Amino acid sequence: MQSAQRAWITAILALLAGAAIYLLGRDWSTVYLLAWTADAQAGGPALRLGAWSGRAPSFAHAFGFAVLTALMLGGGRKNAAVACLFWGATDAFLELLQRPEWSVAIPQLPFELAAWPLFDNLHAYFQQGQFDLLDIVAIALGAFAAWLVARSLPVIVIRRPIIWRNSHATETAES
Amino acid sequence: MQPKQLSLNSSLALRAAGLVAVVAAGLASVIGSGGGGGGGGTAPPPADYLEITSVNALEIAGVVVDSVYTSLELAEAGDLAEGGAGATALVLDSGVLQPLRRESLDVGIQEVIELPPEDCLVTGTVTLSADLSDPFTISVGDRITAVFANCDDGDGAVTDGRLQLIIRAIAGDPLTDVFLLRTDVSLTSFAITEDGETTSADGSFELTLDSLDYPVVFTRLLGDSLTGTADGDTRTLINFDETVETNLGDLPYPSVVTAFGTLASRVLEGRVDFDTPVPVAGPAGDAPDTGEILITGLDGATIRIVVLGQSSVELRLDFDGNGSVDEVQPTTWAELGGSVAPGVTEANAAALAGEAIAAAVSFQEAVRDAGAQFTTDGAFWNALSGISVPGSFGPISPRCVLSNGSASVSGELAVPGTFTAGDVFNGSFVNCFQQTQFPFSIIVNGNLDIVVTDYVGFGGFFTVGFDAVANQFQGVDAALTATYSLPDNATILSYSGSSPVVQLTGARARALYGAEVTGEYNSFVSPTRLTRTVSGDLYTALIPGRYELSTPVPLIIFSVGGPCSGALLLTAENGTSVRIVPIGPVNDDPATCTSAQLELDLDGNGSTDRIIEVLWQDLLQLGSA
Repeated sequence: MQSAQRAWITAILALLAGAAIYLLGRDWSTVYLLAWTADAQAGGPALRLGAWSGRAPSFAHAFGFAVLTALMLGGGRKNAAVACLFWGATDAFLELLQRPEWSVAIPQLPFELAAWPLFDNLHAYFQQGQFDLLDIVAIALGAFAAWLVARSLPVIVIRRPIIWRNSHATETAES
Repeated sequence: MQPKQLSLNSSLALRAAGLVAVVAAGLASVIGSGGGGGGGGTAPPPADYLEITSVNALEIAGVVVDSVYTSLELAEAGDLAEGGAGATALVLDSGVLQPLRRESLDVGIQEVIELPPEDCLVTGTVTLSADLSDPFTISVGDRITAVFANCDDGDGAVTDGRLQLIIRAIAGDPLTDVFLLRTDVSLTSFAITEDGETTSADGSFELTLDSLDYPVVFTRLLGDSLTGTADGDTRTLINFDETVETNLGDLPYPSVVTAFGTLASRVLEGRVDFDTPVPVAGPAGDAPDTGEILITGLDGATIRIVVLGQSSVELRLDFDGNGSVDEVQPTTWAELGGSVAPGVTEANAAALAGEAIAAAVSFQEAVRDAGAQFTTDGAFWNALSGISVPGSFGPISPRCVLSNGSASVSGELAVPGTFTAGDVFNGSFVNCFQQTQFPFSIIVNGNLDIVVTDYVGFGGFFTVGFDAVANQFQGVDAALTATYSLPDNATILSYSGSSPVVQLTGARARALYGAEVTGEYNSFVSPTRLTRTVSGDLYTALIPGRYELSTPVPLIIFSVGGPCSGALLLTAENGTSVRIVPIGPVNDDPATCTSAQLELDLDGNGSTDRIIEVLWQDLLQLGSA
């Protein structure tokens, strides 16, 4: 199996594992994307997962999306570094904004924007989300693990098609 | 070559699209998880009960008080007397419902109506939509939605977010004062900003507004979860049941609050249960007089908030939950974050001055016009001329000169032809125009039942003392003791009145407790000069709180222009005050007495911090608007 294929599978499995933790171990009414179906979760979460399950999705998210992004960027160490730094920084930044002393300063979105799906949860995400230093650690580990996987991805070079060059396009039309 | 070039091109585009999709999915999954890539979703309210200590007791008590009262303010129909800014009032206000009903009539029954965004009075918009089954009234099942976009109607509050009501039960007409309404209320990113502070809420609850026993108004909030942000904290009320019962019949509106539930605070990182073993009672919008709130934390430890009076509250702490008090911390309702009267501020000073003048004028007119019924053009004197035998008389219809008004008098008279102590006169007036012996005329309305306590003189010159019960007499409800004196050959008309409590109606409800007023006219020649004093504790529906009203220097008022000298002082409980000082006449012409200055003591230290110049006309309008 090629390294790119392995990376795809690893990333998707990581994300599925993260999603599974939400599906099996979380109260759906507290998860925006699952809240619509919270009534179906009679009796609360199916599994009682340990404390690790609180941070595992953070790890999986940073890892999975960093690897997928590296793949989309075309592999190689440089792209892998960009992808891992981007997701590590983004996830950590969003987590840090949940610190009460910082989230307080985040204003409500204008209602026109806040009425859109996902955006309607943005304020609650910061105000009600729970900052956890161990999440930051998990994100950093996820991004680092992604770097280990993505750094060896083969570089895919896509050259810009010549047909797009105006001069050649003109020549082609004339011929 | 061309097919390969196209393949490369589509590969690049696919890769770019894929990249965008991955980034979008990544961000969406973070936000959609609720509260973190994994840290915990939308953090459920803290589940652990809080340990209660000497250090955190005040903070916990403050959070509970603030949360309970904030939720009541956010959710209830506001100040029902004033149609306030509460969430439900925003929608139930007739100004909101009427356009929906008109539209409903236009488009037909059982269609969803959505009005175009409507500009609020100052800035922002409100968009209303509704599904009304009957355009003529509100019905069970009706759904009314209001979407506020930074809506500022100039009432000091800016509203943003979405509010939806689904009507569950109804009796009476919500457009009147008497109705019962039970609704499911849903708030989405709903926020009210007042004085730079934003209180927001998300959640739903059942709201009951019951004013079937008006003027007693009952409000109840019942819900599983209501999350709000305030003071930098995210607080969730869980399984809560809160009620407020307010009597709008008397000022200060007595209000009783009960509350039961659980409160979780993100900042405190824990939760507590709360209950009101003794309902919290006091004037609406001000610190309560009595009541207890019991807060229970970890291992049965409790904080008992005991209201000892409006200015005194105790926290009785039981750290081990054994029922005995381990520590007492004195505090105040204000320190707990509860609503307290604002006192005199730069923003409300003119309005308070208008209230003071309206109250003073109403009470003095009620006393003066009651006494005027004994003058030769008064209803009681008129009735006297029609009675020839002692005992019960009436009803008699005395004349109301120069008007189409009417008056009716009945009662008991001991000696025909004159007034005697013990005589009873029950008068009823409708726009009864009367010319008094002094050069002013009055139009009298309402009911006045008096018992003469003293009478000296005859005809146009006399001194009378009487006890009276005014029922909407000149807009006054009160039991009062008064005198009215126009002695023989004198050029001075004087009157005085006092009452334990005077309820005043007009543009809004007002009350004077321990009210006293004196007035003295000193000329038969126009312009007459009136010297007036007034005192009492003023309450007004406009602004919560008790304000001590007095005239440190009697007001001198001519029949032309406004007051020319003197001072009217209004002092709040927190020591702040507004002193209304007339600006004197130009060239001794009382007609030039058209303005006054308001001297504000905003910190209660006795010195003037700010002076505002106002026209009497504007102050009078503030009192009548």
